[in-house]
Amino acid sequence: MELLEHKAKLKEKYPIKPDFRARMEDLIGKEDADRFFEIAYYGSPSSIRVNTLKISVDDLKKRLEDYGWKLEQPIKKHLEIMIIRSRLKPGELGKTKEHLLGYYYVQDISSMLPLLTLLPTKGDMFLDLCSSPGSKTTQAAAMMENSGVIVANELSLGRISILNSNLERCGVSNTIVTKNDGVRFCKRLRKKTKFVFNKILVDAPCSGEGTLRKSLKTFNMWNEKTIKNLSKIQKRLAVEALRCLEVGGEMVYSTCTLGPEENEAVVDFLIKNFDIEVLDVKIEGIKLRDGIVSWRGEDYDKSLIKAKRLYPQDNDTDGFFLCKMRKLSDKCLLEDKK
Amino acid sequence: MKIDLLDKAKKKRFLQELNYLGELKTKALLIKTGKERIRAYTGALSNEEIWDFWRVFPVEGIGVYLGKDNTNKNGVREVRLSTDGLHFFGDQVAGAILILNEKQEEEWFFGKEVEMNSKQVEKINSDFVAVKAESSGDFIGVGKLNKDQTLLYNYLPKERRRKGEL
Repeated sequence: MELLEHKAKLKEKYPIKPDFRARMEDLIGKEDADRFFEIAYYGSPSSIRVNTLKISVDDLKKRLEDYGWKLEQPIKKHLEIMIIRSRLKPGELGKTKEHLLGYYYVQDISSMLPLLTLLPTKGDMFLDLCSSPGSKTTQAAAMMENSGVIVANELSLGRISILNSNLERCGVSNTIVTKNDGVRFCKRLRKKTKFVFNKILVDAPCSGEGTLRKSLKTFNMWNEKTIKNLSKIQKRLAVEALRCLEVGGEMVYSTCTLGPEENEAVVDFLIKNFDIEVLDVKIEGIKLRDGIVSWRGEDYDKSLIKAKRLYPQDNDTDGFFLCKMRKLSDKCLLEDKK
Repeated sequence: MKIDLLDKAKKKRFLQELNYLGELKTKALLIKTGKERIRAYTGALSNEEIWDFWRVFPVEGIGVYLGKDNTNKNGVREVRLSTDGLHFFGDQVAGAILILNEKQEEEWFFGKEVEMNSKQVEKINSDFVAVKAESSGDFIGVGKLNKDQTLLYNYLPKERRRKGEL
């Protein structure tokens, strides 16, 4: 009873804006939208990623089970990903010795997907264009076994401080951190250096509709105008990043939001202007839905069906969008203003 | 961030200063950032490429923070590893290891200074020590013993400490 009362209070404090509801109903239908909004008022289960730079999966699993934690490993090919099924005390996840020493990273499963798709390995040259707080950068470093090249770029000095702190804690030693606006970073890289990357992640700033469960304030901040403005920024970031990708290289564009303007529309823009191929994404153990090929009068390239959407109500996670693409040649229809 | 890529001689001297911890070896590039911080970089960028990045972009971090090489207020050179430096060298760290029992470990993670008993320090001949947890065998940080070896000063960074009261 107490829980229901608490949820009712939250719904009053963080109501769903009519335009937001209308959009979600258009996107996934009324019943599914109801499930999406209902689950938003419930926290998601805690999940972690074992930092294999510092400890083995089995060793950490044993330690956490010795604390009495019940763990589930939902993805067979990636046993480093664990869901904590026990009810932990507030703050317990971050207070363990293992967390303080960098043996695991607290990260929603949705946010782990871009790297499970891109799969950087030793010897790769990887750019994480919007990298703070570093969940994906540290994930990449672990996959690359602290070798190869990672460049982690971030715009804000405050967020860089958080990024550096996480990189340190996880023992990441193959990364160089740069402070720059993502678009300017890419332009400067091409103008002043001969650097190209073979793997790029653009985890773009977005309206965060997929993170309602972590921050109900998003309900209050949600605004359709913001979506249109963000879409312009996201397109610029993705375009410039693609210019820094070598031919044959792979890029993942991702966001933690669900509006097609910030997702499929951005990739569609890339498809129309660059010589790229959208690649299929398959991750066993996680229910992913196909990308959208039309939205409110706009048609997108049919290959966008290969992009993937993660809805909170499908896997009891946050929401996410990702699309993996390969650059086939340097052809580009856009004017290049270095 | 001002950087200085340590050549072979400087790298050797730095590692030699740490020989109280054991014979430490690494293929990583050691980089001095600022006045006293030493970082280890294991990525594939060459020295030339690192300089290219540094010239073209504001570089706010490179590699992992390994330790400090500085001169204290008494004019004495002090070289010590960081917590991550200990993890970086791992099993190579074989000397000046101080083992904390469970109660002491708890105090340690709250950032407290820890009282030592004579048995714990009887084989320690250095000021700086690698601190290990008896319960798990983890390296949990770097500390410094006072002159009498009765107190361990805590060098665990604030962001790695448990918040709240013991």
